[in-house]
Amino acid sequence: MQDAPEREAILLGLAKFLDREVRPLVKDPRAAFRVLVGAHLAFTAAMESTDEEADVNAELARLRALTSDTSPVPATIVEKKRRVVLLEERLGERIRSRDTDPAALVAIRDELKKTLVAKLRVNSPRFDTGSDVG
Amino acid sequence: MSTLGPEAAVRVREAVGGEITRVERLAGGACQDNFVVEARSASGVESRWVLRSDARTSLPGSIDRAREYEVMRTAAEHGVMTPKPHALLPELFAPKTSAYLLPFFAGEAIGRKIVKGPELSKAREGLAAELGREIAKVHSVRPQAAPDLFPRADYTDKSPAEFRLATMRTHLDGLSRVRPALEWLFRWLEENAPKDDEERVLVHGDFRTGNFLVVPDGLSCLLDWEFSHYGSPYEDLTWISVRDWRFGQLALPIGGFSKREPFYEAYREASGREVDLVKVHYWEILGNVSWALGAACQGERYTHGGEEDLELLAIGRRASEMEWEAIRLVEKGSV
Repeated sequence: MQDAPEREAILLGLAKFLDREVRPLVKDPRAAFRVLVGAHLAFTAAMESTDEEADVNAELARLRALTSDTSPVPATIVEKKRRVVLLEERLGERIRSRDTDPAALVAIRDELKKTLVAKLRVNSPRFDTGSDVG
Repeated sequence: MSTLGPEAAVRVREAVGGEITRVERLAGGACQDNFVVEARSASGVESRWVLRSDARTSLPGSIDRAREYEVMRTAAEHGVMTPKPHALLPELFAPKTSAYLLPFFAGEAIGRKIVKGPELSKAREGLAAELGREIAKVHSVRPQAAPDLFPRADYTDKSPAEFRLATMRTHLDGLSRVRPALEWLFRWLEENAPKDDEERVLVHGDFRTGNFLVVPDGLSCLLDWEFSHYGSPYEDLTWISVRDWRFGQLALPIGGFSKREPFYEAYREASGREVDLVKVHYWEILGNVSWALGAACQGERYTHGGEEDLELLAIGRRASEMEWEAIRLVEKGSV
């Protein structure tokens, strides 16, 4: 099922409502902070939803390469997400294996960083991924 | 006082030596419930206390209030600026729990205010050195002097790094979903663990901005000892620099308010120990990994643990920040 307004618009609307309309009315600082957390979570869900298909495809491609997965690429987004979870387990086993040599670990690290960048873009858009941290 | 219940109120009244005039529940941690208690003695002397009680839940690696009482007492006896606990009250609220009272200390604990608040600008000038001297006092407590402060098996069977890694492995294996970045970092930590890291001292365990009180003149006291244990002094020397505990002031690695050297220099002078920057690098990575794992576990307390605190969901989504920081430090090769 799909309908308008789309899921992303609803989630962004919810985030704005919580942040701009509800939070200023809440006098208790602790409760106001929790409203802000709620707004942030709705915003995160909206961001994740916006690029979900492309992000899942990219992550799946990286995991397939790192785990030498040759099975057919799933057709639906739900199946792709399940495959990501499965391949994360296989990659975890490969990382733990003493047969995985240092060069392979460096290559794995480089790919993991790409996934982290994608996650941070959604979860923490203001996170600085530069290298000038003290 | 209805907040405490009638029986508990009687015991607290006896402990503080006066009539209770006010009780207010504070925003609690995951491991304890906290109350502010105000009292007035028969001669009219007013006093203010914090009552800490075991909560319904605890976090992995946290100690209970009875042990925390002993740790704080030991630390205070070694001259550490921390409230000396008063009156351990077993089963104050429920069986198999404990509570105790602390004298109330004033000060600011909110991280962003400590790192940026204009009213604390003078305090920030000397805070790193004060903390260096203070944590050196904590590290002067050795297992030989108080062997029963923690279970002996926790600090005699493995090196401090091995012990931390074994604990982290258990939590990593307990996650409902594999996190390859954490697996990668864990392997790096295993392969690069210090070989000569055998010294064990009392470790505060959560020594960072937010867990000490600051007043305009400087440090007021250390708080929140629920993760204390016998371990490596580098655990405390580096946890304060974990990226999240800089509260956005990334160029100030000591708690978001200082460069490194004033802290290390004061620690060197007070403790007589050198600060090995190779070990600082290792333990700072371990700290970021530990917090990444902690954040992932917090998220699972909501999704798999039956808890409904919205903040747990948000914390769970922040694990990738610490994973990134730990990998960045590995690539950089030094702090």
